[in-house]
Amino acid sequence: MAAEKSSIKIITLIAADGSVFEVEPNIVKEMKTVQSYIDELDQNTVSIPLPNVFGNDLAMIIEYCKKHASEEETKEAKEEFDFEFVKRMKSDDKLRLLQAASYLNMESFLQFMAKAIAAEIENQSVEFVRDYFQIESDFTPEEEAELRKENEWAFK
Amino acid sequence: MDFPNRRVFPPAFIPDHLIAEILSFLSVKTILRLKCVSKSWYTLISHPTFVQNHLNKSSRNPNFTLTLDDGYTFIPFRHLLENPSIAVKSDAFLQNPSLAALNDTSLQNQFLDILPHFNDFKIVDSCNGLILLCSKSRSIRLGYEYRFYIWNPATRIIYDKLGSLYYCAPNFQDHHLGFKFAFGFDDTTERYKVVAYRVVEDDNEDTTLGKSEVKVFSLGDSCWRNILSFPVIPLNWINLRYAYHNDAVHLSGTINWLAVKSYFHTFYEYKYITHVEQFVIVSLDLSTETYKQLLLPPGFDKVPSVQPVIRVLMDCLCFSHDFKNSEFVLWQMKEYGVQESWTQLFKIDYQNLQLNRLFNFRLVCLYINGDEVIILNGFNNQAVVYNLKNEIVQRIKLKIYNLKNLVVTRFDNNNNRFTHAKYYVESLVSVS
Repeated sequence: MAAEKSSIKIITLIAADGSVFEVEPNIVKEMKTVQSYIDELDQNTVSIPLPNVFGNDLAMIIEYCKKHASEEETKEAKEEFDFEFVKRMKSDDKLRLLQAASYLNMESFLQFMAKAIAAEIENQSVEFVRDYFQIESDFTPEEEAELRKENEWAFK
Repeated sequence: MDFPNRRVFPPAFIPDHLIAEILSFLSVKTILRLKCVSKSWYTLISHPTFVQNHLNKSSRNPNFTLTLDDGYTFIPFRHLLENPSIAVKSDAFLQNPSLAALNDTSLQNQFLDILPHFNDFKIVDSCNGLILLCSKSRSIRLGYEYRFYIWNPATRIIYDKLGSLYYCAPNFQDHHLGFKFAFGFDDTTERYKVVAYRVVEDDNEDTTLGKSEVKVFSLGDSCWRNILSFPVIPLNWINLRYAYHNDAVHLSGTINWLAVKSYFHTFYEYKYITHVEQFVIVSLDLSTETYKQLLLPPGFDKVPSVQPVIRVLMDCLCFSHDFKNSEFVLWQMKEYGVQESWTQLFKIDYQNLQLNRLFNFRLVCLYINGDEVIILNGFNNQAVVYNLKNEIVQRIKLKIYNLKNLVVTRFDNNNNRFTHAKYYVESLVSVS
């Protein structure tokens, strides 16, 4: 495996606000952006700046990765953790973490966040969703009325 | 130290590929509603890539179709795992927005044609969220007429441009010789195809052999075409009581039947099968419209006392059979078409299933999710959720209530509707 070629023992991640996190290589395995960077290095330690991720968010992502990388934790414990992890987040946090997941190229974490956001907007109104994503409609009122009529039943 | 990051780095702009990931987790109803959020959302939701991505996610949560007195409902298998005693309102069909609301005025035109006869239409099969419905009616001049609809219950779109198929039955006794049907998707040409087949006795030989007639209707075409006959006769053709356990199954551009070699006549019985080598899977490639025969697992070496069964479970062809009247064995063909890839997934002692010993065991595995499996005894239509690891058994009790909250159907006793349950996944897929 690519990760084993590297001799790195400790990785220092530097968030956008300058906060510093020291982690072991197995924690960053899922962060493909970080992984591709360290694969090419032959040294014991490395510092990686992550200018698009804020400290609070990075702390949460690392917490998530630690739990999921752990071999001692049962599947049930991980599911319980995931549930609590999402529960304590606000909508904005989820959207920021989704973008961070995309930037760090973390496939399964990205899916996890996308699913959590989907759960918030499932069965919600168009207005709620526009507000959630801060989207202005670019349909004319006539166009929108037409679209709503097309699938009238979906609005009940 | 606390960093006030909420306003510094607001989620003002979420790129479309991330929006698509979020939306692909939603129900079809919510997605259709959100088409009018903005023009870019409308474009994104209408795109075939999104439709496919949504289907892939939705396929992880399959439903089974349940026939009610006045239509159909769809219940996620997962619900049964969470709670094996579930109650369904018979009017769920009309109220549940993800189901076809036939009383919805905006839909009446679409359903006008089919509405009076809806109960005559039976589900043949479902593929990518589309359900093939078929009705058979007596036509004075032409014998029997088969009519078809392709229905997406989630988007509520009905496709009706499938030609009728006629079958002339000279004698009333021959009515059972009418067509059987299968439905699948040819992923090479990206077309849905309906397969009609029937078998007649061929008396010209020393021994009576079956001669089959196979027709295909490609969606978008205007007529049925004859294709090559079956090299071997599907087991579900034979007029056996439990033949429906072996309806055709579709998988990655093919339709598959459990078949039997050296078929003799219409009134062939299961007990005439004496060698395990007589069983084979016949596979129709929907793009080339040619057949292949797939061998069963080498470990399957004795003709079981009851019919073995093929099903698609976890996107793989699976084969299950009785072993010495004491165990239920399930094999999975890990790589489609590769005989060496047959792997025994599990073997369950009948005693562990706590099924009523008074009945025979005609077991069919309906669903597998990790260690949990749903097993139906086709003999008395009892179904159980069984945990392979801790061996805990839970009887499935499905009750259907009417508007006055009276139980109209209980699925914990003899009722064959469960037996006819088909897989269904919600999707945005359409045909045109």
